Amino acid sequence: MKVKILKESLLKGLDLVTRVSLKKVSLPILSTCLIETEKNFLKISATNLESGIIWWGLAKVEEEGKTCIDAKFFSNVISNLKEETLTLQTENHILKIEDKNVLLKIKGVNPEEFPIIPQKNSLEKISVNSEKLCESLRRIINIPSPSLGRPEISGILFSFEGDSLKLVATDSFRLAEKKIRLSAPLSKAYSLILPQSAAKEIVGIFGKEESEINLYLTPNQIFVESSARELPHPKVLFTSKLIEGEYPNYQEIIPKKFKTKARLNREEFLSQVKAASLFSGKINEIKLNLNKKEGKIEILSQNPDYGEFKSEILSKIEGEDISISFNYKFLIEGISSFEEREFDFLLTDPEGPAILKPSEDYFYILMPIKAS
Amino acid sequence: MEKEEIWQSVLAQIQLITSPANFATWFQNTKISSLENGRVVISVPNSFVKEWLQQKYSKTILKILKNLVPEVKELVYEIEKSGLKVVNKRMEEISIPGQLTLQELEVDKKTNLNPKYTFSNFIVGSFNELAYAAAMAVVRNPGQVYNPFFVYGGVGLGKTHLLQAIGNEIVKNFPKKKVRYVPCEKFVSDVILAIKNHQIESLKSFYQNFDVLLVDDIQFLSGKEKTQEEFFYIFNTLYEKNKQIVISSDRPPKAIPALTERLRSRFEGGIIADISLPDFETRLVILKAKAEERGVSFSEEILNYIASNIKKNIRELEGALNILVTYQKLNKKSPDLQTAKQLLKNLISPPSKVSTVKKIIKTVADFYEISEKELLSNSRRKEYVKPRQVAMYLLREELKCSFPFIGRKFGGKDHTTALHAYNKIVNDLKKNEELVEEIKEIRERIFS
Repeated sequence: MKVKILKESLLKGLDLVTRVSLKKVSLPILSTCLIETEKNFLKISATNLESGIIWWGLAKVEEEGKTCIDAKFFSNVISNLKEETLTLQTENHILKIEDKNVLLKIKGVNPEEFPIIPQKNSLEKISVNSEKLCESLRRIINIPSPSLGRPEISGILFSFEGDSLKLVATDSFRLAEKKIRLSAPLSKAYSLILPQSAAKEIVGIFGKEESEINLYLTPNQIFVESSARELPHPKVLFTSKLIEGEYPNYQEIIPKKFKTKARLNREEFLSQVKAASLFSGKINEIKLNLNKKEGKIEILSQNPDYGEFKSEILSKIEGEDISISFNYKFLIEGISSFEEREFDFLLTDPEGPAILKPSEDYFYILMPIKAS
Repeated sequence: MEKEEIWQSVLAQIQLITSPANFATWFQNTKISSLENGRVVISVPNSFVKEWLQQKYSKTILKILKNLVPEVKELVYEIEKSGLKVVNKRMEEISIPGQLTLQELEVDKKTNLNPKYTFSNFIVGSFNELAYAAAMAVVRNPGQVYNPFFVYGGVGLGKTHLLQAIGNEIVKNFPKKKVRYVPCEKFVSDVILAIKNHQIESLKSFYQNFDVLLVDDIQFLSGKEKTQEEFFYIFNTLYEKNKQIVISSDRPPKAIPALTERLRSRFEGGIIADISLPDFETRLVILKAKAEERGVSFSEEILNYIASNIKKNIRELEGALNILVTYQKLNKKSPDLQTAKQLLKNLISPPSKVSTVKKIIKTVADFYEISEKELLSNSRRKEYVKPRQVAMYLLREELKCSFPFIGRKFGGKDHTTALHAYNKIVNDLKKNEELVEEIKEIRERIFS
């Protein structure tokens, strides 16, 4: 193999693939990346057998070939080089970088040992704006808790129907749903559960720049692909296994009727809740008293060691007066998950679900703590 | 040779020609899922393994297989549905004291059962012995004994727990049996929706498919004729096929108003068991068990206090305990009896409801659809006599009125008449279930 490529471009590619490659494993090949030529591209792949990633960078290919190099190590080496253009050559799995001032020889592994990353077969292509997708995922990505022992809710539900995609996450104490409009309506409805780690990778890989990305679904894998802006060729392809199992029928959780509704300023409420959280006791409890007549919400917390906290904020309140307690962590995470200036705070019962709803396409349901 | 054996010997040979790490990575959790007409299907855990075996090992595997089973011609790989692989072992759940969970998420979609209800956390006492024994028999032989199993009892005494536990236990013992739990209200709304959408046939065939049907709170069928008709149809189909039916209600079949006779007699055709109120000792046991579940303990006198004051509802016992648990967590010390009394004030002595002579008389008259004048008259017509006796009984029971006073109130009768009426109802209550329910209903109306 003999290839000329821009250092910046190669670094970007290595940056992406090292996200997936593993550090220490029983199978050393999994900490390497596969470097090979493909027409006018240099193609780099990495996998951990649960997910895989392929990156293509435009390069001047003078001689075909391939090898496997430890990904992290290779990335460190390249980032310390000064040259703008690099010439990569291989000889018996050894990668040689030769220039005026440097000569590097990096030991590689037989590329035939490298796992085969599953191919996307021709399937329905689902186009979505990368920024929209990643911003939506960021809102809910930290909700699932892997330690629950329930694989089906340890991931994020993707539910496609018509021209909408719903992303849902829960840890059985709270649940959030974000709706996204797709670029074009789909012929069928699909639904899948993506592992939380894969969702984080998608955000890391595709969240940096805005572009149109394509999703391809198969019964066991999801493929996410972005194209290079300048030419119609894929730039990055990420694939992950899916979580098997059926997502709970979460629609039934969403309360249809509410007893109390308050319209709140996000910043103001968030800062009060944060202040109150400092005084809350062992069970993270903060208490809210909504008073309709006086049009205000009291925020209370107390702790035998620190003392008591009480503050009020004004708000338009509809419905009945209610007194309800929450774990401040869940409340703060909920309020922080969106950026709209105002939101609806909808309550059903001191022991029933509450909803934060800043807009039509997003809501965050959380369960209260039993009042003391 | 069996499939398992064949695959074992394939693996034994491959092991010799690959490195241990490679072998562990690519051959873990693989197996032959079928072997027919020379076509071997190898099931693999994921797409990566599938691609790898397909491209790197197919020739070797095929060669070894042919040596073992000469007729093998073709090798196919499929990704295992991990539904089989995932052992649903619940790891310890995150527990945050007091934090409520989104209940519906726990519910199994296929059976509609909530796995938290099991027999292991079902407390048995004299008050629910019969129901428990019948449930155990049903669980061992679904559909063979006691069909239908009809259980009734008051609010918060564990009917739903019992029903769900039966379902969960059957799922555990007979994984192939299709079990379905449905609250009657849900069934009613399903029927209404199905009628609206002209899909009543598909609703019927949906329910006829189950091996075990558990219907909670059947009293909601009362007065809903069309739903009763559909339920009757489903009931019969299941019953004829020896499928187990378990029904719960807050009252016995006889006492469910506006229930067609044919359904009533069907409900009475199996076994009827009631859950009555737990006695003091059982209430104490329940409290202790619940406290232990939560990892807290309270002094004996507090538990005694709760057990002797909350008598009618297990859910309220739990509620009382919750209040004390939260207090303890917050203040880092156990409440003493005085504090406990203060904390539980609202639960234990709710604002007393008032009833008056007038109200009782009016309610009884309304209930039996006669006028107050007729109720208070001297007439000996049958339709007035019984209501009058009921009214006298209630005046005595609820307001502790003296018999002479009651006699005077009802057309200047002697106190012996009132005494006789009172005793008659007391005796009848022991024999006549319908009367028990009537009086319960009247009481509810008086206090509502």
